[in-house]
Amino acid sequence: MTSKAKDRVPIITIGGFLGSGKTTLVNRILSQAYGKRYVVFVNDFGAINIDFEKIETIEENRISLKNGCVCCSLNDDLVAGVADFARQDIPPEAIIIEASGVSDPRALDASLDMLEAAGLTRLDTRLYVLDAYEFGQLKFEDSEYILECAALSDLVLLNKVDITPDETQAELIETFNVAAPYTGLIPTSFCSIDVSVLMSRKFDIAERAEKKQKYAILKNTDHSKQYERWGAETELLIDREKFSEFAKFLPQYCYRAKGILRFVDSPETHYLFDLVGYRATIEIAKEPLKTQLSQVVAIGAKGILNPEKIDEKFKTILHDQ
Amino acid sequence: MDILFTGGTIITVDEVNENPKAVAVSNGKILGIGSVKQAQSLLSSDFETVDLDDKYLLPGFIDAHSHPLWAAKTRGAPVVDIRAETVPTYQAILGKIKRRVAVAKPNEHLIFFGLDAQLHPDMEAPTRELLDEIAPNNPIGIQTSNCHALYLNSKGFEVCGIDENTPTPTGSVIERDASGRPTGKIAEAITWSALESFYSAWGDGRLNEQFEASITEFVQNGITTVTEHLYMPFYKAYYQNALKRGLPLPRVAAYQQATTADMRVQNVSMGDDRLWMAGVKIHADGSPLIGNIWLSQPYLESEITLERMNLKPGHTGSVNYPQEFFEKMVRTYFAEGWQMTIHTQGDRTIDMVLDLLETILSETPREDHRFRLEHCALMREDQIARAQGMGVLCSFFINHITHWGAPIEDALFGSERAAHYMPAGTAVKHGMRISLHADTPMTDPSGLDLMQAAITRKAGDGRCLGQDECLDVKTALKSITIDAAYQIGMEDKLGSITVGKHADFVVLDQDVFECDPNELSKINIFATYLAGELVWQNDF
Repeated sequence: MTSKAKDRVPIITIGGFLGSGKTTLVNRILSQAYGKRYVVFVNDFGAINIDFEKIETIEENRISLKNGCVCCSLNDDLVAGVADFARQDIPPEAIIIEASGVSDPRALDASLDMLEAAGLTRLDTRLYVLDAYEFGQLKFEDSEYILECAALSDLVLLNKVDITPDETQAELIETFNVAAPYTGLIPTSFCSIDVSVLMSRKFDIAERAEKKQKYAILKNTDHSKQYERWGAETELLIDREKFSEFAKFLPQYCYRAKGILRFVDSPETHYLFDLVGYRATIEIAKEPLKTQLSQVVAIGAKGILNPEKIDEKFKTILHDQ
Repeated sequence: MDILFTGGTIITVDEVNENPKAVAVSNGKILGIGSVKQAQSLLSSDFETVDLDDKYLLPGFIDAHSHPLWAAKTRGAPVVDIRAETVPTYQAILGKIKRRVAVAKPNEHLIFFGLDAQLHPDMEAPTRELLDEIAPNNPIGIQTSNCHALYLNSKGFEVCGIDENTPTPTGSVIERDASGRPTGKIAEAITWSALESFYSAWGDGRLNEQFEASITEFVQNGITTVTEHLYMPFYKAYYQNALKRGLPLPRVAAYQQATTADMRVQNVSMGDDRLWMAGVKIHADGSPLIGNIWLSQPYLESEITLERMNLKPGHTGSVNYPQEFFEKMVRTYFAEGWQMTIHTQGDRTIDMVLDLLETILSETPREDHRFRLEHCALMREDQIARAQGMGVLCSFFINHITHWGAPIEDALFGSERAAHYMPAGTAVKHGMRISLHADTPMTDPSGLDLMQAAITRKAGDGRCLGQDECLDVKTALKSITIDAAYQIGMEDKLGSITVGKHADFVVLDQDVFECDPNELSKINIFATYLAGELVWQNDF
């Protein structure tokens, strides 16, 4: 039985560079679910699925793809997982796929095409989150890569405008409009958009077909090769002051780091650590987390990120018991 | 080292034994094929077994016309990718160039690769003045995605040593104003020599690194033999360096570029099946995508041809060299005994080349010359029949269909000519042993992409260009294995899983014969073996 396009489960993909706000957007969508059921597939960048931990939902509908990146090839786990939900008697309102910060929006195409060909789903909206604050500080190759990804998306959230000077914003919008002439743009802070607007945004199927055709010749590139990852977890508690040194030390090696931390002075509290570029934040987790471990993951350019050096430094922050 | 390959489906592309159960390999060569017992009995007692795990073992793919070292030059920073799949419009390209120039070091040389009259909808030819305005202090060049043309700013002309006093080399184009001053665009052979000024400014470190990436891309796609068409004598050092570094360089059949009749063809001598001089390449004409090919019927008159490509109504193009000049080159290198590979796209160009070869052969007959025509976009059926009769072989640039199929039909040549564009099916019907190629860096290297393109002939928008020209799976597979080996003169050593040949293999996750042809290019390349050695494995 082939279902009509409108009966198929819509898929929303969320892309964006490391630290741009993808997880925030997922949480934003889930917080405005109002009884509707959304299933989220999370594709974290490190060996430890911290993004998954951070998604604040009481539903059981969170699936984390542990095997690295959905990037680069047909992903069997993703296809099988999405197909299971799409075949349910009462399928979810929508399926959201959060791609890892290093995957190209195109990387999901092979998987989505297969699901679409099977009559199960339809690609509804391709969202991309762009960090307006960080953009100007990236090196040429990285900021251009972001523009290329944005150009392939349907709608871009120009995020973190609250901390971005007006002039920088205006310049970026001008750059964006030239670089991504077929893509819509919404400025946001903390991905603050009314999700009903997002969900009811009806993309003309013909428009998508045309867009797809424009990029039909493209071939996925294996971006995973350009990146190096580091991760560590420990049952030991962490020295707060030494961690702040560690957080200052990290940016020379990585683009992005994240973690769940338990400090010596407050062992029962989970802290969430987030580093984008040179900007680090540590805040108390709103919901209690199940893990008893402290975990930190980082991602950086191949040849720059040095796992041994980071390991060495990481050991110095652990509290001897 | 003795190895037994077994436990999967073995597709030999050799009609004597199409599907044996096992292959015995010793010292990089195929020692025997047959049952497990038969193959095993040939090996020493301490052989290693490669369990194919129900996957598919095929001969390694051969791309009969590629440019791996040249690809390394044209890809990767400081070359900036502006191909239509990355940057959607001409305006977006200009934005990107401005942003790159803004962060350029003083005098940093920059090349932007991939301007495309067919795929960038608002394309205009960039003028020297415009590029000077954007980049007053840096030499910059914008290369078209088909590689045949380059737009330079004043600094760019300066570093390439081209000015109003520079004579235009025979076979090349320098567009000039009334006073003779170059106005921005250069095309054909001078493009490639001008680019060398940029490449050399970037140094060898960058090139060696990029060459490694280029080599990896070929072996990841199951390609174990390539050609280096447009080989130049100074290339040898980079190949030696790659081998010295232990890189998994595919076997390379070099075809040295000739632009004059007095060139000395280099004796490469790095093993007659590792890197060898296979012949000579000459450009008889240019690219259908910029208009410098010679046709019997004119281009269509469309926005793309008139405005973006700047062709005049009724344009039928021309060849690169004056007839006598071209004839002298072909005669010289043919007489030296080289295999000739001639770049031909337009049908009148092909007439000219076949006429010339017919004359040469009548004067100095030569058996088994394997004279090749390259790309063959608009070759007519009568020409194919004639070529086949003369022992001429065609290698088709089939990826034109997938990449530019829609504008080729709608804007360049119309449906009648599009239906026989790159007429691989007709050539096979006439009994020709054809090959297919990606012409990397023009399109990305992949044997499976070539097969899919030749079997489906589907353009990017899904339309089929000429059902009659579609190949069956078996023929398509032969055209990237045994028949490609024949075209480079290596059918005794490469191209099939046959006793005595090199153990160059690719392992696929799916059967090419069972797979939906539209999905062929998505088949996972599980492993690649070169001379029995594992050079690539997909960990995922």
